[in-house]
Amino acid sequence: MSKIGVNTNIFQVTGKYMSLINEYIVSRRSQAMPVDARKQAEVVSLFKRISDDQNIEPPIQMLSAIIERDLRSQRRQPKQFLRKLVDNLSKGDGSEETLHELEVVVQALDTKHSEALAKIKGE
Amino acid sequence: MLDYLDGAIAEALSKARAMKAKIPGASHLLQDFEPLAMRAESEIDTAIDGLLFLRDEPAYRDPANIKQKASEYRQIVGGLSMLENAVIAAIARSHPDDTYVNQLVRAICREIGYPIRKPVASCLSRTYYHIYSEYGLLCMPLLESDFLLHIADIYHELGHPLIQLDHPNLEAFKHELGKFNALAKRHFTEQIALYERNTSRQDMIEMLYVWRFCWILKWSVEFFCDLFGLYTLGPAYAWSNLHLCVKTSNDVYDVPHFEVTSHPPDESRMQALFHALNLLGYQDECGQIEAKWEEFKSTMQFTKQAEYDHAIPDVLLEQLAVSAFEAVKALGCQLAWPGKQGPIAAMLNEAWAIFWQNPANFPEWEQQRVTEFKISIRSA
Repeated sequence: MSKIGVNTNIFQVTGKYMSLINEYIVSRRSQAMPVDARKQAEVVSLFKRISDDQNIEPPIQMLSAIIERDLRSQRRQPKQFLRKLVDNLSKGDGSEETLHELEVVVQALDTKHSEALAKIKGE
Repeated sequence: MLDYLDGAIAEALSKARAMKAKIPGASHLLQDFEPLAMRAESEIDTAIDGLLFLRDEPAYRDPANIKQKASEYRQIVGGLSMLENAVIAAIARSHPDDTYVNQLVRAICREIGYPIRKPVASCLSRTYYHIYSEYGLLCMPLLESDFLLHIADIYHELGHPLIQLDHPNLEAFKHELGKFNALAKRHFTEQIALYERNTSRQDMIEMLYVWRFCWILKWSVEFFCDLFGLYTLGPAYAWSNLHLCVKTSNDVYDVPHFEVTSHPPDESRMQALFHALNLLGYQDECGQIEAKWEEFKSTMQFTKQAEYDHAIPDVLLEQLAVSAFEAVKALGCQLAWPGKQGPIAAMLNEAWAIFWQNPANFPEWEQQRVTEFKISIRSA
């Protein structure tokens, strides 16, 4: 009953979407790396799917569960948080407040990502 | 910090290149490991590209983006560490027994109609069977290939890539898992709402959140892998799981209260397997395994915690068995129907029948059967 199989799944999924969001934050903040329209649409679509209770894609369900649990631990309302984020991203809002909310999400994924790696390595 | 990160990136680049140099050339690489070596080289190249991008892209030189730079660096280094400890180690320390276990895994995959490329198998594992789905590496303990009763665990590990990999042949399988997860989430969300309305039991509400998280993040995956094993192997999978629980379980009813666990309680895994055995038409065998399972629990005096039925509702276990049944059928895999098992499934099921006829004499039969099987699989 190894923990490796399930944790490599968490490691891979969290890593993939963390990179997508990180890259979006960097391009939003930087003049040197402008946001391309496809990346913008990808991020909006991601958060729409994460906030959809009816979604049946296992990786998205995983992300949604991780983010919800993290927000609850900070005494924040996951539904409201995600709804506002989707609205702001859909409007192309690149304000520091929105980018900070994205960093909150990255932090939640990063924590699980690191935990999964530690479990894979048997720590 | 930016200077530090640039130094750390330079170090990681150097390590990545050294790692690539550890992959043996054609004259020293076992043929079975060639796909793994190709995958490792490709992953290392991707990591190197990622590190160079972090180092050279002007946007990542902006102090405002240092958090993202650190996050991406950590992620790439984590991936390299996993490659080093699992994949490169398996390639560099390949063992003559690896040839046989690759023949075995290939034969199992062919027999069950495994819908994607088979993983490379290695006898490197220091602990138990496990798989790195994204690299296609299945590890098993060195001596396991000389015995029969835990070969069933290969079938469980073959289930993980079906969930993790992005492949058109796996869409329907993942769709069933997703539908099940949505159902589990709805069940626990309703329970949470009920408790919030009618009681002041905050401890119970918190536990319901923990269980909902466990089911979606980890448990449903483990259950689906178990059930994939059962539907493609038959009763031998359930016997093997019972055998493992006897060796390792401290409390088959153990449910988490605060911390998330990677595996559901052993009792729930066995109950899901019983539902599946009945669906597959093995009522008699299910009765026999269930009787032994009850005997084991009684011997060990395991008692159910009050929270167990809240964490593991039987309605979810029944639905799991049905959902996984549909999922495995949708893959087009060969199911281990009664009387229609392939030769390897038949051998592993026969092993358990022989075991129960005379447990004390089983090792002698087993060694004879493994020897014959190794000869047959080499000449196949």
